[in-house]
Amino acid sequence: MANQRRKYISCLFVILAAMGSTPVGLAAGEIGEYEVKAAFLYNFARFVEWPATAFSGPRDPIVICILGDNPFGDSLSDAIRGKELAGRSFAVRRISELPLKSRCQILFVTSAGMKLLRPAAGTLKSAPILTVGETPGFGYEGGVINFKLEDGRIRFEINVEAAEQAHLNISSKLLSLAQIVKSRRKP
Amino acid sequence: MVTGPIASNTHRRISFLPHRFRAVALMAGATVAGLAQTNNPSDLTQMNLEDLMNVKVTSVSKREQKLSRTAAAIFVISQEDIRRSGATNIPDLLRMAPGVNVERINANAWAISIRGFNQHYSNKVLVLIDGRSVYSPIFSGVSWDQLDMPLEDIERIEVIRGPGGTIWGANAVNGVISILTKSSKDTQGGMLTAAGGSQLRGLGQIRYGGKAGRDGTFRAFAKIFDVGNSASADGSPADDSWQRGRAGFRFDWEHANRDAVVLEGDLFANEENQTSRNGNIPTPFDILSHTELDAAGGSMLARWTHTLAGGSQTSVQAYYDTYRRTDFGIPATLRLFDLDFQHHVTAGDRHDIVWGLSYRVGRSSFAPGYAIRFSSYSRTDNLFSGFLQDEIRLSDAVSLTVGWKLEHNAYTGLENEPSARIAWNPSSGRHTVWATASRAIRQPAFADASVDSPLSIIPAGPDAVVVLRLFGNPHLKAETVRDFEIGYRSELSKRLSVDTATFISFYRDLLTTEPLPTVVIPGSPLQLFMPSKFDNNARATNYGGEASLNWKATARVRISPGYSYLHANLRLEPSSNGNITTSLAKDFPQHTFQIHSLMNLSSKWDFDQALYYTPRLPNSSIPGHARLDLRLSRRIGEVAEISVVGQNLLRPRSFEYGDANALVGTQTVRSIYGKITWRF
Repeated sequence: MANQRRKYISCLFVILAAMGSTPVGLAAGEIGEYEVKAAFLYNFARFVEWPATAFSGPRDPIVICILGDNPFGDSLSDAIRGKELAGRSFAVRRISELPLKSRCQILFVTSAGMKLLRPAAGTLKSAPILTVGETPGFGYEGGVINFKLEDGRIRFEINVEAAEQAHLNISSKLLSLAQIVKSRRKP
Repeated sequence: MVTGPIASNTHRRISFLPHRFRAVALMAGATVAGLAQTNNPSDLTQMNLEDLMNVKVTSVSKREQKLSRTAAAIFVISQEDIRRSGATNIPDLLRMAPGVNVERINANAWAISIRGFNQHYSNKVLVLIDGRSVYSPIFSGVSWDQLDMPLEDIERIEVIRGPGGTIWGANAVNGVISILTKSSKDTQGGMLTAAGGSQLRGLGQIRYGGKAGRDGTFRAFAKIFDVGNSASADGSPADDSWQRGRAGFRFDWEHANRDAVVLEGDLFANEENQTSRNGNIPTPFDILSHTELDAAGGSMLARWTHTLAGGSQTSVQAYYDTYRRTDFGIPATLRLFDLDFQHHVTAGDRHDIVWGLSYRVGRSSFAPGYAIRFSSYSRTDNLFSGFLQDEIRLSDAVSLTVGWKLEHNAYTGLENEPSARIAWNPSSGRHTVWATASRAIRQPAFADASVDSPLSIIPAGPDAVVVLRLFGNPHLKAETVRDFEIGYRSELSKRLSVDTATFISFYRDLLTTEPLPTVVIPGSPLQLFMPSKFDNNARATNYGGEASLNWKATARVRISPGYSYLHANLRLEPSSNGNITTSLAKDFPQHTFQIHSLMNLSSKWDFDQALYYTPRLPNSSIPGHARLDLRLSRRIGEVAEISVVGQNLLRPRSFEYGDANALVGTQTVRSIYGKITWRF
């Protein structure tokens, strides 16, 4: 008897699970961290001016490079699809090592990517690249923009000095929303 | 799905590696709803920066690739999983990790282990809370009833199956359970929780978090918890109700991204009812007696992590832990201080090195004058250890981690715990194959070395009794394991991921009881005194594996089944005339199966289900049992959530474990409770 009831309830459970698994076309309730970060990366491009030397031609795309594994899935490609800025389209590229073999205007460094970056950070010095990290201390180590997650909201820090070194002109609007950090002083 | 602050991972900790410096990915991904915004994520790029900064991230997705790449069998229980489990205590949370065997003995005692050797106070799994070990050096094991906190404040629980001695040291033989609480930065504002129901008589909890200066945040909490009786063998109310209260705080300070300080502490008191026999070995002459278990204590931990120029990090941690616990009527006290230093540095572009030194001093004492005696009633033990671990990137796809821990304990002297781990992660990043070889030990505890315990007194005629008595052995060796694992992890698609691990473990010097010569003590009654003592005369070869799937069936439904298998072959050394101790008894199931399903019925309603199945334990009369838990919840705006949870719904009552030595097992009862959480 008890056994039968158990079977019955197990069945019910499976049915419930199966019911739940049929797609119900309602608004998705989830917003992924990297979907938001992808939107930020696109937005950063709108508020940063690169020197002409950063591109080889006026129609060159703005290339967002990801150092380390791609945490975005398709969300970054989706975010930039069809977008254009001053006649330039966007592209995404995954980079597995430094020094860079091709041009990147934005270099996103994942936490795992820090391991690849640190030994080769010198090769990026004064290159016109907007480096964006997500590791505590990234700005302090000379990165331009660093993401932070505070109470579920994405915040960012900007190292103005590092931006100047990379010949990037960051709009005051972007600066006003950021927390300003400084590079560590060289011993 | 999760209301309120999500698990932040800006506060990085190492997971399989020491917890301080890096974090693991959240496997399942903490997800949230209750959002003011119901933006379609694809619209995010249309938002201006200010709006974007106000978007609450609801899914801290798989972030560092660390977890998926780690060469170890790790399962992460996220805050989302915790909230939706409906569990009200930590043991029930651990049920959801495949390979962890959780068996309830009575309402306040559990047998919890990983990959076998399960018993009350299992001794082969190390448990940490924010880096503080809660494994008792008095009797080898964890007092699960003493572990508590607002479950909402847990960021995640990392369950590592397999040895972890290289990083964590002794007693991480079969696994490590690491409970990490949220940074106080992520628990700002107030939260009030009240719950009650048929067996959970009451749960009340208040927590408040605020800012302290420019760079600091804090939270403080108080919690009370009251559980009623479950059922005894004949269905009548068992005498196992219990209460506990706890208050604590956590303070976090971060400065210029260079320095981070964590300071946390808590105080607790427990009062529990139990029923026990008068000896460890059941006899027909046993008298069941009511005993009270009381425990009270507190802990304090401080940790400072400093990022040096060049990106290397140092961390200094100190904690003090003390409690007094009266179990089976015998008061025991522990005072423990631990100091630990770690340094994490990258060398060249291939080496990622962590090394550390630590010192621990613990004073354990038992009160004299009770039935269980000891050859010495208190002792102070020092523990020194050092470790070095190097993760070497052999190529883009292959990394090798080698590590070695050297530890000196007061019982067995110098012990070493080396390990080697290799992970192959082809460039697609979707698959990881890993393998490990490691050695770990369990060091003897105070009780193993010096106990003098009456096991049983059995009448053997009109004027004679047999007295069984067990003596500790100060010359015990450490129990050791040599363990080999192979695992595979894959993101088969965006919706489906799989995680499998297999292992074979060779144990030596496992604890046994050896008979000593029988002594006849004349008198009335005549005593046949049959002593025995602890020794290291057993070995075991165990193998098995675990598999889990995580399937995002739709945007609103996540289904995760898990399975574990264990084959154990325990045997006495030919030289032994003794018994394998209860700590080795085959009190673990060969197969376990579970399935969880989390469903978002709408943006306000959640419906969650969990089904567990454990077959009959090999040496037990307890039949196989299934457990079904259901939870239905509704969010009210962003501030409140009401839920109803049903537990053990399949049967009115059932045993999970039965008796544990002298402790009488009780039946879990079908129960229901309601809960309201209000944030302000």
